[in-house]
Amino acid sequence: MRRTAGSILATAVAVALLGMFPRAGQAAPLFGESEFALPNGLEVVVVPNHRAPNVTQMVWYKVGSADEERGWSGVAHFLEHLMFKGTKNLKPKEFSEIVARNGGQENAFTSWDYTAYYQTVASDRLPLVMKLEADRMHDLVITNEQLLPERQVILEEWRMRIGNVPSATLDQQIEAALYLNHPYRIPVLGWSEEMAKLDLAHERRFYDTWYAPNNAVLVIAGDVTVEAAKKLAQQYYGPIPRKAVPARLRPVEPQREANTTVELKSARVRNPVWSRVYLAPSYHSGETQYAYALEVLAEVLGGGANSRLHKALVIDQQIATGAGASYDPQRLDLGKFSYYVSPRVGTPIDAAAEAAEAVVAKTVAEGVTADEVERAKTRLKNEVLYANDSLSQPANVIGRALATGSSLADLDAWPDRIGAVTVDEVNAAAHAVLEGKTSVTARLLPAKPGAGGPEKPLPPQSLPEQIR
Amino acid sequence: MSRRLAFIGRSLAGLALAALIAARPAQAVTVERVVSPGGIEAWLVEDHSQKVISLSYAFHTGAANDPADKTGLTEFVASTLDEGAGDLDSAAFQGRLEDLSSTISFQPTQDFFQGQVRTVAPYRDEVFGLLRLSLTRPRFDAPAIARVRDQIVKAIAARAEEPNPLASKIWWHSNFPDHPYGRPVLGTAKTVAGIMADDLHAYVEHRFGRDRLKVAVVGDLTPDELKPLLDQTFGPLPATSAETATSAETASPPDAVPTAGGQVLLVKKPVPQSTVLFAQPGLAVADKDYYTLLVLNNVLGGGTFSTRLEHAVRETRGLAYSIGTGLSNYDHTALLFGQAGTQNAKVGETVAIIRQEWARFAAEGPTEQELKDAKTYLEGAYALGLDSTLSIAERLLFFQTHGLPIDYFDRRKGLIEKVTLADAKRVAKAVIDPAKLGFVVVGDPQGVTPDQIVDPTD
Repeated sequence: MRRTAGSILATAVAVALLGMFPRAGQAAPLFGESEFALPNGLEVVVVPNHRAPNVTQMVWYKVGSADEERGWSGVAHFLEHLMFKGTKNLKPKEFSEIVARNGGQENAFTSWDYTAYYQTVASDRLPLVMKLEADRMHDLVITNEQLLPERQVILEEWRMRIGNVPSATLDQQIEAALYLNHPYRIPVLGWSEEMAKLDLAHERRFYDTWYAPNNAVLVIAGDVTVEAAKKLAQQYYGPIPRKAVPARLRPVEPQREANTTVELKSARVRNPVWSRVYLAPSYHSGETQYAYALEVLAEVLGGGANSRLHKALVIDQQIATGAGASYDPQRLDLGKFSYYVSPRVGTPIDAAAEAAEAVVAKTVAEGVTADEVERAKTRLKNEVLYANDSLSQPANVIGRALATGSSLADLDAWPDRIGAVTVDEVNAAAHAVLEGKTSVTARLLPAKPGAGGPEKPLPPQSLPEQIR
Repeated sequence: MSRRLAFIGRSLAGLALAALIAARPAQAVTVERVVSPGGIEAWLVEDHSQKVISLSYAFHTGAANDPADKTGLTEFVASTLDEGAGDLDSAAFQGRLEDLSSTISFQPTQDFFQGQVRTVAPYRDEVFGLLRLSLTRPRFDAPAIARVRDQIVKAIAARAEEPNPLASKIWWHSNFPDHPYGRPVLGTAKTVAGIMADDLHAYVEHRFGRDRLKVAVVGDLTPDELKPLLDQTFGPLPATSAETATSAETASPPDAVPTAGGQVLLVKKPVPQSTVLFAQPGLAVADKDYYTLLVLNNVLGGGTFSTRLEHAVRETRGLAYSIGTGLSNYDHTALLFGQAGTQNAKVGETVAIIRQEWARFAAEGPTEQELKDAKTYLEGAYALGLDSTLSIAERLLFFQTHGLPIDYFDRRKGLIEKVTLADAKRVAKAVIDPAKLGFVVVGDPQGVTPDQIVDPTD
C-alpha cells in the first residue's frame, strides 16, 4: 500500500531525545511564536524562522459560511473571491499583479468558521504585502462589473468541486442530515441555487459587518524579527478603525432523535464506500472534556497501518482496500466523529459495513489498551516536529487555532494535553460519543448508466452576455 | 492540529506545474557533492535547525520501460514495496516505521522510479535500513499482492469516471498511440490481473542498480555521517542493473511528439462541467531556448492569477474557475500543456478563446512589461518552493534527473535574466503554434465539433 506522507508515529523516547517539549510549568511556544495586539484590536502572532529569506503573511477573519444570513449561502466564500477585485486605491486585478510581479505567491480559503488570505514573498517584500492586505481590510470596492463574471467563476468552482464529484455531493447530503439546525449543515461553497443569486448588497453588507481589525488575526511567519513585524503591523494595520462586530450567535443544535441513512447511487461511481458519522464535541462546544481523548481514539481506531479498523478489515479479514476514522476538534461549535470502509472487489458493502461496526462496537464495549494509547499519542505529538520543518505550516496551524476559538496557550499546551490522556478517558469518550447515540450512515453506490436518481439540474444561467 | 482539512480555496487546482523556476539568493542553499567510499554519489544540503532528514532518490527506470503486456508493473512494484521486507511482514514493517516517526514512500513516473524517506536524526540508521530491506529483500507476500491488485483495479475504475485523470489518460493514449507514453501508468484491469509475484521479484532484481541511481539528502546530518549511510543503504544493490547489462527486455523508447495536434477529441460523460485539456510540443530542458519558453509560459498561462488566459477566460468572462498552463518534460518528449474546466454550454467559446489567445501570443509575443513581470516572478517565486527539507530534496533530485548542474540554484537567475524581448518574440513565433495545439474534452460539451469521439473503455 502506498501512502503519501501523512501523520507520523513516534515513541515517547523520541520526544525526550528531540528535546521538543519542555515539561516544567507553562508549555513553551510550540513554534517559537510571540503574540501582541494593536490598539484597534488586531491580534498579531509572529513566528520568526530564519532558515530561508522568505516570509508568509496570513490574515484570518473570524467569520465563515456558518455566519451567513439564512437564504444567502455562499456569501462568505464569494466575498473571498471579491477581495481580489480592487479597492479605493487599487484597480481590479492589481492586487494579484503586484504580488506576482514581486515574485510572490498568494491565495485564500474559506471554511465554516473562518476566512483566510495569505501571501508568501521574499522577506524584503513583507512591507508591500502588509500594505496590500491592510488596504483591503477596510477599503474594498465591489462593483457589478466585477461581481457578475466572478459569480460565474464560483459556479464553475461548484461544478468542479461538487457537481462533477459524486462523493462530494454525498458529503454535502451527510452534513445536511447530521446537523438538524446548525448552519454547519450548509456547504461552505453554498447551495448552487442560492449562489446563482448572490448580489452586491449582500456581499457589501457581509464585508461591512465582519471585516474589521478587531475581528481578525494577523500571522507573520518566516524571516522577520518580532520588533520589525510589530513596527510594520502598527504602521499598516494600526490606522484601520475598529468596528462594532456582532457576536457570532449561532442556532442551537437540538438533540438528535433518529438515525438517518443517506444513499447516493450514480453511474459515475465505480467503487462503493460506506461511512458513519456522529455528532461530537469540539474543543469549545458540547462535552469538551472529551476532545483530546477523541483525537487519541480516532488514531487508535483508524489512524495508521496498525489501527484497529485497518488491521481488522484490510489486513486480517481481507475484505477492504481501505478503512479509517476521523475526528476534527477545531470548530467553534459541535464537531463530528466518523469512520469509513471501502470494500474489496467482490465483498458486499453490507458485509464490510457490519465488520466495521463490529470493530467499533468491540472497542466501545471492551476498551482500548495502554500500548495503543501510548503509540497513538506519540504519533499525534510528532506531527509538530514535521510542521516545524515547514516555513508556512506553523502560520496555518496558529491561524486556524485562533480563528476557531483556541488561544495560543491552548495550542502550546496541546502536546502536553494529548500526552496526559489516559486509557480510561479514551474509553469514556468512546462511550459518550458512540454508545447508543444516533448517527448518519452513508452509502456511495455505483448505478448502471440511466439508473439511479436523476442528475442534479444545473443552476440557472443568470448572467447576460458580457459587455466587452 | 492541521490535518486533513477541507479547505476551499482560490487555488489553481489540478495543475502539476513542473519546474516553476527562478533563482534563489546564492547564500541561501549550499549544495555539497558527497561521494561514499563505495562510490555512491549524493547531493546534500545540511540543515541542523530541525532534527528532520529528508531523502529523495530515483532509479532511471519507469513505466515507459514496462513490457506492453505488463503495463502498470512499475506502479504495482511501487505500491507493494512497503508491504513487508526481510523478516518483517506488512503490518510489522509499517508498524515499525510508524513507531519511528518516519515515512517511506515510492512514486513511479514514466521515466523514473522515485522514492522518499522522511525521518528524524535519532532513527536515521534504522529507517535507512528499512529502506535497504525494501529495495533488496521485499517479500511480495500473496495477501499483500492480492490487496494491492484490488486497490489498483479500483483506482483504474475510479479514474475512468473522474474528468481530469480521464482527460489526461486519453490525451496520452491518443497522442502517443505507438509509444509507451501512450499506456496508462496504472495499467489496465487486464494487464494488472496478469502481474504476478515473479514479475515483481524480477523487476527489483533486474531494474534497480547503482548505475541508474540519483540521490538527494537534506537535513540534520553531515557529509561524514552520510557517506557510510549511502553504502549501507544502496551498497547492496548491483553495481550495474541486469537490465542495463542485457538491455534485452525494454530498450529505451524513441523520442516522440504528440500526433493529434490541432484536433479536438471528445470523451462523452454526463457531468455538469467539462474538463478541457490542451497541449502542444515544448522544448527540452537542455534546449538553448528553454528559459525563454519558461518565461513565455508564465505570461500565457502559468503560475499566477495574472496570465493572459486567466484574464481572457476567467477574469473577464467568468468561463472557468481553473485555467492554467505549464511545461512538462520527459526523457522522450517535452510539452507545453494546459487545463481548464467550464460548464458544458461554454466549451465551444472557451476552446475558441484559448486558440485565439494562442495564435495572438504566437504572432505578437509578450509586451516589454509582461516579460519583465514574468522574469521577476520566476526569479522570486522559485525560492518560495523551498519550504521544507523534503521540498528542497525533491528539487535537488529534479536537477539530477534533468541533467542540471549542482550549482543550479545560483545559475538559475542569470539564465532567466538573459531572456530578451527579441528572444521572447522569436521563440513565441517558432514554438507557440495553435495548429499543433491538441484538445481533449471530457464531458457533454456544446459548441464544439470534435474531430474524433473517443470511447474510453479499456
